[in-house]
Amino acid sequence: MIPYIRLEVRKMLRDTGYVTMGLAVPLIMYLLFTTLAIPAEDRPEGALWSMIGMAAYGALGGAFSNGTGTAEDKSLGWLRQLRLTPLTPWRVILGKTATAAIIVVPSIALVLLAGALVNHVRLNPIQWIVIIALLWVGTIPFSLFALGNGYLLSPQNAAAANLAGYIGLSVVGGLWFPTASFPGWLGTTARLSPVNGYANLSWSVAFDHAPNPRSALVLLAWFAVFAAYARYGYLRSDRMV
Amino acid sequence: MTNAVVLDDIRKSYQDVTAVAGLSLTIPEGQTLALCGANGAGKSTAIGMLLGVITPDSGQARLYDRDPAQAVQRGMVGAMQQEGGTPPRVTVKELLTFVRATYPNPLPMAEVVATAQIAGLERKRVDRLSGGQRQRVRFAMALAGDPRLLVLDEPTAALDVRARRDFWAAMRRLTDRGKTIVFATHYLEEADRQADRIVVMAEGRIAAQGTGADIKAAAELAAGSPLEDAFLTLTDQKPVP
Repeated sequence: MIPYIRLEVRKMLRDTGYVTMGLAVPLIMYLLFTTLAIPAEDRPEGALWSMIGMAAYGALGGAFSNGTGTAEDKSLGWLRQLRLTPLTPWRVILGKTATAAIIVVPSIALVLLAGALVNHVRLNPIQWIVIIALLWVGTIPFSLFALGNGYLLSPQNAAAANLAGYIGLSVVGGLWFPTASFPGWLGTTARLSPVNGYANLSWSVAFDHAPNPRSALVLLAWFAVFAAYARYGYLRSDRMV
Repeated sequence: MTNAVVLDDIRKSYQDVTAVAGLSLTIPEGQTLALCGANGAGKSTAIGMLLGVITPDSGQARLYDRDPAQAVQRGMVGAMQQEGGTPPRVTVKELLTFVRATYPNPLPMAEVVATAQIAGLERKRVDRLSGGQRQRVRFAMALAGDPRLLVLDEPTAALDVRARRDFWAAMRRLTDRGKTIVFATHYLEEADRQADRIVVMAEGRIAAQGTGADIKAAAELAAGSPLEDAFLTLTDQKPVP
């Protein structure tokens, strides 16, 4: 399975969609937000808040472009060719999920490094470690959601669904604007949304020194939903191939 | 003697279209078999069931007395799809390195390159090759694992005369090493020259089988008449005088 992951990671690192959505845009947006949009007196807090928001945004960009790539693999007959190699279908899914887990790392690292080096964000070592781990592990539900779209939809539709899901969930989840500024009904929706659960875990570690249990529950619930969706998508695509 | 392939009355319909209407076929180890038939005769569906990627509605396919998917997972089979089957953004060498790694006893890379005649292409990206070059890479993927059984769906479709001749020279080296080969083709003379046995399919069934002479006899044509005339007679298409 390692050779498969190696091949898939290479493929993704050369995908302009990934490089733009997962690496360039989040980093540029982070630097723009923190240098232009945040007033000087709010800068330390804002730089920390936005660092986590944009690292999450970048990681989700990687996870979603991985799913879109899967739709492309399907239409090119690559998924079917994989079934004609000794690699079992189960390992293909596992390999593809592992690929997502690898390509989100540079996205997280880039924004966190910019936070520490450019904006001088200060956290204690345990906070750094826990935040990195949460930002990383928390992408799994979204990788599964994006894979489900990739298996189920045509490349054009998967790309559209993943882009809409990516941007929509990021906005509703409060990665761009804090959910505190949302009107009442939207605020409630936001707090139950998957991306808010994901990012708020890290925000709560950064600002309150402990992960928020309600956010953990929200993310776990969505994990169950998205895992079922990915499984359904895979089984459906298997029948169509 | 071991049988490489046993198809026992396999059938497959899609909605109200019958693709394969009861096909039984036994291919002994080491035989080269050509599967001929007009478009829509059921060749690709039959090959899909033989490889275990399409589940028959009834009947069963066995490879080396195993379930086809199991034989594929044990590295006994290499296959080339009619079209597509290559991933984007990877080089020829990266792709073949991966395919070889999935098989227990792959062919040395140098031999894969020599047999498929792809020297000089190794560092090029597969998605930037010409149609004929990509066809050879797809053939290289099928033989890279050094499988006992090679299944090729229209392997010479995109090749020019020179490349086609080179391809059959490569195939003879494989048959000399005792490989079992099943290939689908529209080129009757090619089938007659290269295969030990020809199976002509029409409307999802076997219309005739045997050597080129057997096929002509089945169509009640003189020994000197073109094999294509026999083919058209057997598949219910009138030969053009």
